[in-house]
Amino acid sequence: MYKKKLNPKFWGGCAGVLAICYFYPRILVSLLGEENPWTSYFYMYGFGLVTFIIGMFVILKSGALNPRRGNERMWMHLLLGGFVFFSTFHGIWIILALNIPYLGEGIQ
Amino acid sequence: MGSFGVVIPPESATIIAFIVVGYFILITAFGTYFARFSSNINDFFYSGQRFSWWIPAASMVATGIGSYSYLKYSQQGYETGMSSTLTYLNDWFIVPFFMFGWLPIVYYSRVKSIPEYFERRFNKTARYIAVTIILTYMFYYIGYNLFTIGVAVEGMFGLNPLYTVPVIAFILGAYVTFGGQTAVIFTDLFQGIMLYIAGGTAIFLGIYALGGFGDWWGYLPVSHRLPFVHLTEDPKFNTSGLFWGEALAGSIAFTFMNQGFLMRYLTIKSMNDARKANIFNLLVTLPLSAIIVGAVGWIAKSLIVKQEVLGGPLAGYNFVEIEDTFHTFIIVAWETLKQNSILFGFIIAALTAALMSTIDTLINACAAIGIYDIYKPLIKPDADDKHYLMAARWASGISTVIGLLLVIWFAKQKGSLMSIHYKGIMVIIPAIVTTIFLGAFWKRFNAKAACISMIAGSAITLLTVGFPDWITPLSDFVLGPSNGKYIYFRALFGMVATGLIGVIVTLFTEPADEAHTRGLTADTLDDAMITYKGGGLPNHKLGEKVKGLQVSIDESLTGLQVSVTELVRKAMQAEEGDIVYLSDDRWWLGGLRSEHLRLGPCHEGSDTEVKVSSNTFKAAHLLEGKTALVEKII
Repeated sequence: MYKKKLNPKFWGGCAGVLAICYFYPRILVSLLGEENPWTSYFYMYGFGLVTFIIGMFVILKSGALNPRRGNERMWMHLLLGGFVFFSTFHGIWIILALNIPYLGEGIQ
Repeated sequence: MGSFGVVIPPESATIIAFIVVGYFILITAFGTYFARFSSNINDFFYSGQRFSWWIPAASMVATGIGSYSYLKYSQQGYETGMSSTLTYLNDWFIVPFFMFGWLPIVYYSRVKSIPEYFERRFNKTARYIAVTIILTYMFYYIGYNLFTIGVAVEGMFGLNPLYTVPVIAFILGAYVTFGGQTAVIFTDLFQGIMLYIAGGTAIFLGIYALGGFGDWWGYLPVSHRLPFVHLTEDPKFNTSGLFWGEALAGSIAFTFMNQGFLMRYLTIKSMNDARKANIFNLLVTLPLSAIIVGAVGWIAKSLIVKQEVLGGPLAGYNFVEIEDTFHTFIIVAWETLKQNSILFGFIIAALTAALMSTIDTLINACAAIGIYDIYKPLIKPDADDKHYLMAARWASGISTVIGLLLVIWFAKQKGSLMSIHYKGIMVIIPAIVTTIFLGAFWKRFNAKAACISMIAGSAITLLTVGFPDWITPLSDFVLGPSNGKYIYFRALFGMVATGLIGVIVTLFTEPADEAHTRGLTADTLDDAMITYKGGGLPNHKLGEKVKGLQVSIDESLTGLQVSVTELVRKAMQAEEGDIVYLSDDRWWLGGLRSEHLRLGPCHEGSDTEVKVSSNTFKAAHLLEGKTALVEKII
């Protein structure tokens, strides 16, 4: 193997992500059940958040996003705000879907 | 007449056909008009990187909606409800990687195609492996789009696709071949508007027929109102598969390796504007498109439920019955339009617009790869611009013909349109997507690893078609469906396999050297900006746009130089040598008449005067008597 090895923190991070991938959906299903619409919501946004955080970490650490450069602080806030927007939007959508009466009782 | 699930009388079919043909002629004329703005090879493919963010962003509407989108998503909307929007609304997770990683790398390194990036980042072998995979992906899409419209036309007018598809392909080829990217962008802009108007009309009339928004929502079953489907229940449409296969693999493929989309970003005047276009696309275009293509399906479901509650048809309408859900869009549109041939013809024209606007982008992108990755480096490296412009037009024509020939292959395939689509795409994309990702974000990733992982990753992914059980452990691990039908998980499997191979090979070989990483990875973007600027440190100070300037000619200015007064320079926060953007200041032109220039020494004339040489004035397509704006780019 080539001399320079990867940072142990990197391998620790990988193990952490794998652990989340395995345990998170199982915990979710045991708490809410597979049929619950919130299970799908938290599955998507839970794994989505992990992906998003890794993305933010990578671009900040590499300097590709530098909040002190030009207007990049604004872009950083927009990225974070966008995630909050979509997760809130989908959450409100589920609440509206579940709580407004259905007029076709008995018809699926 | 027709087998769309509706019976269209011959006289109505004639009116519809006239409207569609008229629309084709209009679009061809519109597109070929913009050929005048393609004076060199850079203009032909990248429109000279001159546009404001909103023109490519708006034109992406039409590019992102294929001919099959209306049919596919209306069917999905009818069957599973508003979760049909999920594929359009799950892209935010990967935005950081794209907006601050891949996009600036491609933009600042001035690569003309993704394979060119592969040569600079890895080596020539990697480039040609990438060319093979990307062209396969592009041709597959062109052939598939042509095939679907052929099927639709056959269903409606009973015409054999082997006759209609070549005619459609000829019209498409005509304006892409002669117009280039500018024609593609402006026709797509026009067609995007058409798509929204046509889709909006169908939705409005559908909701009106139902008795208003309240009734539409009220009669929609709860399962159909939800934005997510069951986690694993449906093997073809489930939340876990949609996250791993679509939100990750599919979205990365579409944003990172779709040469057509990337070329849109490369036509934009600055990185800041490219980011605006990206945000607009995610926050506005995609959600709106999700509604436009899927809403008729949601309306259909509500309509069927309301009919059942009423025990008959809605007042003033025929009884609507959907036997074959693939035709949901056509059936509901035809009935809620009260069988109005003119309006229905307009809707069908929008369907064909969706086809044209997706294919024109793909044809132009294939031609770009053909020229920059095959013709120029391998066949004729030192020809002049005029020659390459002609070659580019030939390449567009050849791309169209290859797509056309693929229609014969598609016509022989069995299974639904959806399964034919995913059968190819989910096998083609994983290896190259992963390699792009590793190349952009892992400096150590080297050429050997890239080549081996692309070839081995593609081969392993292909093998899962015969051995789908290989995917089961991975699907089980993340609690995905375990039913042997892994539409989306095949892509995830391919990405994981390619990634593992890439990491292992990299760890056992020497890291990539600096010449192959400088300016080509996320952590070397500062170098990329310096190269982009052509020397000197990038100027990130925030300045103002200065508008209302009179353009005057000064032949003492060399090359693409521009001169302004000290006051204007300070307002822009620019320094001599910075790249500035000079444009006709009518905003609605979106930068059609503009040019990137280097800031020269300040002049001492009027503060409302900007000076350029006559050649620059001509290259920027500026008009005498029209005022201009200047803006510092970097």
